[in-house]
Amino acid sequence: MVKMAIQVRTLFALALTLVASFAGAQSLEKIVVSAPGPRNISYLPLDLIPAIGADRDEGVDLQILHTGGGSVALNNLVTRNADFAVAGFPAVMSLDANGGDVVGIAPVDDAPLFVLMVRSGLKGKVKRIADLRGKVIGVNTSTKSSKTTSQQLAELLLKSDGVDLDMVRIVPAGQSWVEQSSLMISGTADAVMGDEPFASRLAADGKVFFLANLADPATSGKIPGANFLHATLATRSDMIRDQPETVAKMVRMMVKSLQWIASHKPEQLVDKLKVDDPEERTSLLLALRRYPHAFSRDGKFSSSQLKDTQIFFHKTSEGNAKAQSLQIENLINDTWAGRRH
Amino acid sequence: MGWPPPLAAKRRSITRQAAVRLIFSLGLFVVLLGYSSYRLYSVALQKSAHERSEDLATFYRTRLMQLDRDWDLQTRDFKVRLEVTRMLEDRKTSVTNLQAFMTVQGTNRRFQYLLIQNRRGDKVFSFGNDLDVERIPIAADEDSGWHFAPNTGSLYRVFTAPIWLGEAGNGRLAMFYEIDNGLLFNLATPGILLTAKRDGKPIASSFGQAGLGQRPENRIADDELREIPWTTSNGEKTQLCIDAPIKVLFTKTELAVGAATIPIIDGLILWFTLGFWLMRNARRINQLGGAVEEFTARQQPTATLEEKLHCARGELVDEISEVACTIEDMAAQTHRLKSETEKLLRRNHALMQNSMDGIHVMDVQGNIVEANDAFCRMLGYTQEEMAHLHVADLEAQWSAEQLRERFKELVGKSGRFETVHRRKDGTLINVEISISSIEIDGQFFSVAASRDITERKSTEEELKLSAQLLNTTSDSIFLLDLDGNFVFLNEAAWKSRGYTRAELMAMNVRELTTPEFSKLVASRTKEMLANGQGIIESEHRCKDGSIMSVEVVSRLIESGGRKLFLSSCRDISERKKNKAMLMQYKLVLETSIDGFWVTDMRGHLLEANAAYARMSGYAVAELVNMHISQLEAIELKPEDVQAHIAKIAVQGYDRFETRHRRKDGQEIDVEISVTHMAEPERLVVFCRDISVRKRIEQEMITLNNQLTDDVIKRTADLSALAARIQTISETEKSNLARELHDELGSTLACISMELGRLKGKLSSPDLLQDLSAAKALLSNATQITRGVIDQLYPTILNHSGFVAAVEWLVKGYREHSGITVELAIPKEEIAMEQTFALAAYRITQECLTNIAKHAGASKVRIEAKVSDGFLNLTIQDNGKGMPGEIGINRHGIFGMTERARFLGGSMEIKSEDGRGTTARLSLPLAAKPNNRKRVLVVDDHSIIRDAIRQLLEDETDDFSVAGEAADGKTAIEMAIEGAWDVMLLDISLPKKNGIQVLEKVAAAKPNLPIIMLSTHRESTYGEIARSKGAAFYIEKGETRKLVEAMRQATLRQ
Repeated sequence: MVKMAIQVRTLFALALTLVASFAGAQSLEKIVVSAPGPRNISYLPLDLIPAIGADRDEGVDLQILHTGGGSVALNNLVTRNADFAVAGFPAVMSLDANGGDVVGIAPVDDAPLFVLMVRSGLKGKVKRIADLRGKVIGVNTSTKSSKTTSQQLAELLLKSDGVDLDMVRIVPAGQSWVEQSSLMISGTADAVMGDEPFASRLAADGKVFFLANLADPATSGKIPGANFLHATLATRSDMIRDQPETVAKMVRMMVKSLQWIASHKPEQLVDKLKVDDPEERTSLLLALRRYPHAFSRDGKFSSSQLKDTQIFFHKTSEGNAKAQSLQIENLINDTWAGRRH
Repeated sequence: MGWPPPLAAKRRSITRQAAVRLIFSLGLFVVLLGYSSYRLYSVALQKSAHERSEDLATFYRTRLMQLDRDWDLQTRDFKVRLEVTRMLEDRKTSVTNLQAFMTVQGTNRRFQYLLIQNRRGDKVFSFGNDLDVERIPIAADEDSGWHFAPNTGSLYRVFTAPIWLGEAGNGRLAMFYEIDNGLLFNLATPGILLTAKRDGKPIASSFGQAGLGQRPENRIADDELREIPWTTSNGEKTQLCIDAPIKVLFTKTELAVGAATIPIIDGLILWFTLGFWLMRNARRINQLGGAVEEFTARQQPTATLEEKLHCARGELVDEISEVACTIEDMAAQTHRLKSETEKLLRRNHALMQNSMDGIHVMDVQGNIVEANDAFCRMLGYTQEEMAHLHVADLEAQWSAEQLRERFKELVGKSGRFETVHRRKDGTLINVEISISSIEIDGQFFSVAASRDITERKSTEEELKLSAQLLNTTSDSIFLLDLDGNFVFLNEAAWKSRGYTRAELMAMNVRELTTPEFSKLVASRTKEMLANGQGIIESEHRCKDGSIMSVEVVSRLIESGGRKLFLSSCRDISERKKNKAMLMQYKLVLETSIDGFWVTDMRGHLLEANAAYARMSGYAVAELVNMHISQLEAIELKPEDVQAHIAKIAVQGYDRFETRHRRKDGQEIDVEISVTHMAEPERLVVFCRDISVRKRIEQEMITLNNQLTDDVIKRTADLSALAARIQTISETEKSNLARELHDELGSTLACISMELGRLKGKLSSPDLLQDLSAAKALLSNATQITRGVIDQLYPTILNHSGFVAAVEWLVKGYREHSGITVELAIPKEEIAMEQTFALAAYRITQECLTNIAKHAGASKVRIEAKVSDGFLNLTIQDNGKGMPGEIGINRHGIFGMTERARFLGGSMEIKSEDGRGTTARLSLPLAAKPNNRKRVLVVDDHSIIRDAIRQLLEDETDDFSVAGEAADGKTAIEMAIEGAWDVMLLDISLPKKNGIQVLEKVAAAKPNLPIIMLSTHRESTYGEIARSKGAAFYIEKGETRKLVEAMRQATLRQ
């Protein structure tokens, strides 16, 4: 009899817990954000938001829609699959040049982290970018209306070394470990304009070698506006107009995540993200240590970086009159994030 | 409540009524037309929307079928691509290669998930977003179906196809396409909201999260909502909800313009067809009404009447023109009848207007119908005003109710009565009314003839009043003939003399008068007959034999053709007595030695006696009308004199001394005694010459000052001598202490060493014991010697200073007395001259000794502070205190105080019975640059403070200003904290006034002499200041007195 009473009590307590959690969930505002990934270093601040509970603090249930590239994430934003997107700002500008309605509202990265990696089988044969002529090159997946930053950068590097774009085959390489590693390991692509920490992980496994690294001054020196703004939180103008409170919440969450990263060690970040796979953990820690200034520390736009971004985009879109006439200030709304000079 | 006549006429206007009805009918028409148009428009809109929604449903059914077909084709396309690579046939093919193949296809843009399973249903390969799907979720015989992921709430459209796995045979491939917002966004046409629902629950929306969050109740009412199944399968649970806004046929502006145009056109039609005709006939009727009004007003045919009737007739022959002709005939007949009536009325009117009496006609209600000019003049109204009055408006005696009753009684009768009427200006007149009743056309009217009898009534009243006055006056009134026989007496005449009226009437005036005056009756009668009037004094004999002195005022009058004397007699016995007494007083004053005068309340002399005339050198006549300020030797402002008079008026009496200036310019000291007298207000002043007394007093003061100076000098000599003795004593003590230390101390030390040396040589126990006893005695003698040396002179003071010496003193004191001593002195050594440090030390020592001996205290607190070059030392115990006044000779207090004073400091002791004793020493740290006494000057005017400073520097060699304060609060602080010999204190000060400062300082420092210095007269504040503890009260400007007072005050101290 006593045992039965205990069971009844346990069930009652469980029921109460379920009801309470359901009631709690009911009151949260659902916000969908689309971003490349998962576990792509450039977009880690977004993954961290639910991990540190910043969304719950704002009364938000944050859902992250991972995609194979910033352009796809932006497409999700435009087609209402998501309320916000995180993508490289050159991709945002590309979308705007093609008539998309998108506005950058907060910076996520401080430094663009791109690595042009070449599969190991070509070591000795490919020593410089010009050697990629006739090769298959993977880039983050673009869409019809937006070209990813990765593709823009790859094309700029190739052109800067005198490689005609007709002399290479550009294939989509996604923006996750599975996608980028499979292309390299299988040899489906010869080189990939890849992301961290995947590139470092592949290099550590001896599967690839780096032909160019944007963090390397030797590479960035060749590229006008190399310090461009990469991952940026963006939304549509109708969201800003109709739901300014939601936009404010999203920016606050992002800023909180950036501040958390700035005040914690890479190990704490990796722990918080619950990266259990040893290899993934190691590579992520390696990348985080290698690029200590990867993320914006205060979540404020930098005027000089925006200027670099415009230079970079204008350089990559030479020949496109509409893209050339684009002014970055028209695509930025720093009402919530703020600006530093 | 009725409308005002013009407004009521407007409301009755037929034109207006016609216009109102026209507008009302037009308004009603517009409302009905608007409503019916709205209903028609709504029905049309609904039908249009329904047809549109049908079209949309058909369109989206086709789009969904096309989408399904595309997905199916895509699935088969991927199947073929994979089969062509043959990667699935080779078991060695790595998953990585398959993943790479899928990646380069850009699959993540096309579908969400791909799953391949073998014939047994085991998963062979999957790619895409993580879905927790291990098996294809639709039956093997179906090509398509749905998969709902409950954890994410996502819905997928699933297509399958067989796929060749080589030796493993055919497997199954399934591709998952998500039904998401993006899909519906791309599917939707502009303005259409598409929502995918599964079992009625929204899954995705073409408007994104906002569309999903939109509640049904928030939907726009003008939307057309349709739901269609996603597929044609039976029991399809997935629905596509099409939400399309109803397309309106007209804009709001178009509707408004349309709605406004119809009634305007309709109104114009109505106006031209009916409105014009209606308004023209309404105007004719209106003219008819005007003609009737004109005739009513004029009662005769006029040009206006003719014109209005002409307009009403117009060109038509109808009912309105017939009415106009009838009115024209009626006007002509009425005019003729009116002319005849007017002739008759003019005749009657002439009769009325020529009457001397006031005549007025009233109806039975009392309304005045007509009145003649005499009546109107009598009451002060015009004819027009009178025509609107009721008799009650004129009547002042009877109420309206009484009047009505009277009129009822008078119907058909005549009568005469008196009453009172009120004139227009409010005055009342007495009237006699003769009234008669007449009947005209069956209606009764009253005709009243009124006569003004006010004058007659007034005369009667005056007579009655005169009689009453004669009887109520206290004077006796006699009316007597030329022979002295009484004709009339008032009550006072016989009652005051004790007779009855009859008794006195029977007497002759000669019998009433005493013999002395009786003899004069004949001559006085003759005199009055000649002058017509006269005033005489006489004496009447009362019935009880007493004599009454009277003053008689007589006048010769005529009454009834004979001459009579009207005499008024007043009893003046009391007045005569007073006059006699006054004469006596005046004689006394005239012969008085002291001066005497009387002034009015402005200070002008009304009279003066001969004594003051002698005293002042003026004649009595010269003194009268002089102002007292002209006599004063001290210059006085008029306002000061007036203030003093006012003060005396309040007090009733004052006595003071002042100086008067004689006519020859010589000044004399006088003592004045003033008394205030009321009714009439006067000041009675006695003045005594005190010049001699004053001179003697001045001589005494001079002598006293000389004595004071001698005493001061002597005291200073004594103080110097006492100081010298003190110094010699201290020097001797110091020498003695040094001698004891050097000689006796050394000798004792040598003896001690010798005894020590001897101890080593002795072996006998007895001798050793004696030696020990001798050493003990020697040690005791050494201790006593040291104690005596320390008592004689504290050597520690020389090499360690005052602070160390006091600490050393206290340490020993604690040990010997057992009393707890709390020491609050500076940690740093105080830089003091040796003499001053020694004095402070000695006083401290003396106080502690006294406490130990006499106070019975358990605790002592010593506090030392340095401030403004002074050491302020406070020694306080909790002992029994010193009962009663502290005697200066007790416990060496005098010595301590004198010692402090000689060094330019001060010492005060305060004690209360049972509450301990507090000694406060204030001692300079070094010798003063001079030996002038320290003066604290308190005045809010810097010019006064500077003047006093200058005065003391120039005129004295024993005082100097050592401190100044400009307000009361600072003065209290400085006086209590510092060491002063005397304090000069003004009365009018900011923050705290002088009297308050005086109270505080006198309580805290009873030995400090305080001299009040003020512009106010001593008589005002002197007594108060002295009662609060001031030593002297000196008026500002009396510099000599001030210096004398300072010397006397410090001497007393």
